[in-house]
Amino acid sequence: MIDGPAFQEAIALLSEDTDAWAVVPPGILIGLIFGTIPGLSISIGMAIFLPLTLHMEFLPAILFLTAIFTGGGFGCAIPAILMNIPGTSASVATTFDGYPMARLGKHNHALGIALVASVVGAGFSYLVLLLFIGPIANLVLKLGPSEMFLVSLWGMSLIAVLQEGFFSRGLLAGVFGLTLGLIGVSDLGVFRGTFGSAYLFDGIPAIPALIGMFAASELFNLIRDDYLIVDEQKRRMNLVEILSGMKRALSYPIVILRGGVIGTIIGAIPGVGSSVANLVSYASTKRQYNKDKTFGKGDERGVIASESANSSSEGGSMATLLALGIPGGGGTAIMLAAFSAHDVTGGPRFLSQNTDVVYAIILGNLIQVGLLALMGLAFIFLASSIVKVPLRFLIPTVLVMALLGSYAHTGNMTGPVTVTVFAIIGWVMRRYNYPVAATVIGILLASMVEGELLRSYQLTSGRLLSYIFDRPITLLLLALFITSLCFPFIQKNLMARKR
Amino acid sequence: MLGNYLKRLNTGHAVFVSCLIVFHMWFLFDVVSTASRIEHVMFVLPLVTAACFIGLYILITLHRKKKPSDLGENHQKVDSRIPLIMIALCAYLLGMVTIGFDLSTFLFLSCSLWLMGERRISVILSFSVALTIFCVFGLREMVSLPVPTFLFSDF
Repeated sequence: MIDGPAFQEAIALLSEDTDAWAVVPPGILIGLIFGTIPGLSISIGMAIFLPLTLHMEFLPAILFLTAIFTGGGFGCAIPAILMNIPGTSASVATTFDGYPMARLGKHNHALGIALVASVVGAGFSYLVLLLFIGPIANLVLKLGPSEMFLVSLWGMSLIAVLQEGFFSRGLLAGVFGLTLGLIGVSDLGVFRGTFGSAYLFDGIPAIPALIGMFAASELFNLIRDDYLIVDEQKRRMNLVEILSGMKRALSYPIVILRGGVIGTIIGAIPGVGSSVANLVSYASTKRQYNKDKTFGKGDERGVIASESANSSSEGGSMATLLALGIPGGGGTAIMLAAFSAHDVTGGPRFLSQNTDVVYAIILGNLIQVGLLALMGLAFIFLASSIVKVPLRFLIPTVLVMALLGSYAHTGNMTGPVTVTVFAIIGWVMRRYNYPVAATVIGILLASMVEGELLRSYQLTSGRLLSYIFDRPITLLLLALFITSLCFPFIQKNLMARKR
Repeated sequence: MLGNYLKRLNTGHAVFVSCLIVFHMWFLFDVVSTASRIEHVMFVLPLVTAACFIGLYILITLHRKKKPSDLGENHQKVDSRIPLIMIALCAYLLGMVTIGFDLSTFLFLSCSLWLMGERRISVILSFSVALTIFCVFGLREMVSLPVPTFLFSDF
């Protein structure tokens, strides 16, 4: 629990350091902008502004980067809702109901809901982090390769399950993504499926593939329409609707809380955290509330579940960064770079010797979340005007930004080529009702899934089965994975019996 | 029997699934031809086997459902502008490395605006020029990467 004297020192640190507060609002704004523009990501924003932090003290530097992280975490929801473009894999599930809501003219409402879910989710995770940073870090240390392998597979299988009525297509899309994700040099140094091209040695870049599959392929389908929202009356920016959405989100405390818990726990798992957390939260909410089959057609609870989980996964990933020195993703890896630039090494020693600084960072993040509520409100009011732009201007603009953004991401033509190829594949997949989300998550997780399986095999000298039966967490995750795979069949049988 | 099956089959969907199966099999052969130790195939082999089985299952069951709604497919006629935009996008890619980011961006924007139905030349030109300057030179200033351009190479 909380170390009293260190907590008081943390408050003193924050109240004395005015620089730490001066950098937070610009940080949040940068995060919001980078999260919103298709092709640019939070990691790019943090990387661009990393050199600036070298001229700052350690605490302001970290608070500046976490402000970008916090702003970007919510910023990604804006294109996910308005244009079906998840800024990162963490907002994939936001598109499932957020985009249908926007198409129905409820974009103001959806953005308000997403903002509150993000703020409450992130606030919850930082509060948990403040109270239980030590136990969370210990729990993560107990996860071995077999558990990581199963968590990744579980996340994958959830998308297939979410594909209602076409389970086999969901599975095939997921398996296709995993295979694509294996292209490149393997952990054992073998070249696979590279066609001999040096550009593919590092594998298929996931973010450009995500942009191509989600954004560009959807833009092709929008060519027929004149505007994102057909009804002119519904296109207007409406602060009252945004505020009513914010209020509405608070009427689902259980959904937010569940998303917060799932996000904080799964978010702490390095690598898979945020990608899987939003899907797990969405799937569990859908399972409970989808009696009227409204999920996937613009159900506000879907947006709440996803946004609360992906924002709270921020807190989880910060737990492993601060307590173990392990970055969970691109954003936290850049923070780790800022740590080392200030001669600080995250990990158990940092946690025990600089508890006050750790608390100051967490408290700073909590306050940032409050600021996000205000700045986010102003930002979405402006961002929602995108629905007023005619699609004949919006489609070419987004395509150009996606291609140039992916060039900035990869540093060579691999990015733009990937966007184009996956835009065409994504369009075909959508046409035959294959979930593009499953393929994207497959690409993201493939090398990790294979790596963890390989490590489990090497650790056990080939005796995988006996190893699995000795580990209760692995057994629990295995049971969850099998249940999630069998769930559609169980549900089908139960419904047939009821009839 | 096979004739009846083929008659009822959605050709586009079947071709797509068949391509996926062929891709997975090619990938397996590529992996095995490079290294066939158990560590190299312990994940790939089950993955490819699963893909082939699921793909075949989809192919077999495709003809059973006759209504488009049963198949969950989009049976709207493909808008003729979609393949044209795809071609323009591919040409844009080619242009980026041959004539520079600026000129290719301007040409892609102009072409796609025209394809999307904008017919006012002044709007097409001014919008394309403004966005090209904003995106290409913005990118050049923001990232420390070489951004090949046709005009203003010393901008």
